[in-house]
Amino acid sequence: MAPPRWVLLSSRLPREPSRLRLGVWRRLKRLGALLLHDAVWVLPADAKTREAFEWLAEEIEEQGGTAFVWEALGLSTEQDRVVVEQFRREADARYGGIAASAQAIRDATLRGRRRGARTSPPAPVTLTHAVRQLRGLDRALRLERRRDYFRAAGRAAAAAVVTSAIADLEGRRPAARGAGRAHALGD
Amino acid sequence: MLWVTRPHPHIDRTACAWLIRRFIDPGATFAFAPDPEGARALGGTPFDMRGVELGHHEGRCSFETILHTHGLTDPALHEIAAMVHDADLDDERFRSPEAPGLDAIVRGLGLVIEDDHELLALTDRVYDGLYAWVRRTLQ
Repeated sequence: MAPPRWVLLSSRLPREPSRLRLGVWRRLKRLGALLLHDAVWVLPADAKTREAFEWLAEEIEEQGGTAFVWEALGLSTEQDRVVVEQFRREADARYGGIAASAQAIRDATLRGRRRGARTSPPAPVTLTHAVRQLRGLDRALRLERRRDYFRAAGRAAAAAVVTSAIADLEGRRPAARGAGRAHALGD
Repeated sequence: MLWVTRPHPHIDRTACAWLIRRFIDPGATFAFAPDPEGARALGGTPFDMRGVELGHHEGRCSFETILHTHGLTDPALHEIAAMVHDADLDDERFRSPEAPGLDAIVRGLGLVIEDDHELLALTDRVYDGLYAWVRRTLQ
């Protein structure tokens, strides 16, 4: 494998209005860029990441700031490894947040059911709402994959948590139970 | 005619080059320059550059803009436009299932092919295949 090439961006924006700085910061986070030493943003270089930094640099300059974009090679494989691990740590933190949300939605929905009358199933509207929230997390995972440049371990783990939470709640929906029976009979 | 875009083309620019060559200007040749001034210096028509007619406008990517500007109505081209839009802008407007795969293929080709003309020759065949695939489903 050839050593990874990196694309770097450093910029300075006017202090005011602060929404400019916030806007740029959000864009960089959305791209999954890593901020090194509070000084330089880095992404693994390819046609798309290079273009993303180029557009961002142009916008920064249009807003009265200055920006530099470089393509770079690290001088040691150890340094590359450290940077890759940092990308993975940040991605893992984001995946962890999604997995924790999915678990919390699942647990809260099922706990609510136990607190109610023992014989009544969870309100269909509650289940429908929770499943919709979980599908939102599934979409969030898809977006997350795009800025997970080094396949962090948390990707598969978070996907498993979201999928099983959806399956747990879907299994308690009357329609889903009926469909499940029909399927079992069909088999 | 000479058409000029920025170097290291990704989805939108590779797809535009294919669209131009196959549907607008069979004799098209391509050159690369960093900005519209560079394109003018070469005497070519710029595309997918900031502030040019054939660029991003009103939420459309350059491929969609060229379809629109040239009045191309082939539904297969519009389906490819949806893939290009989603892969380029990441806004899931069309939820095109092909977009993430197309993004991965063209980004990956850019990692192994240094020469932009060689890249365009190869991506032309990728889009030829996609077009044939979509046409078959629409016949």
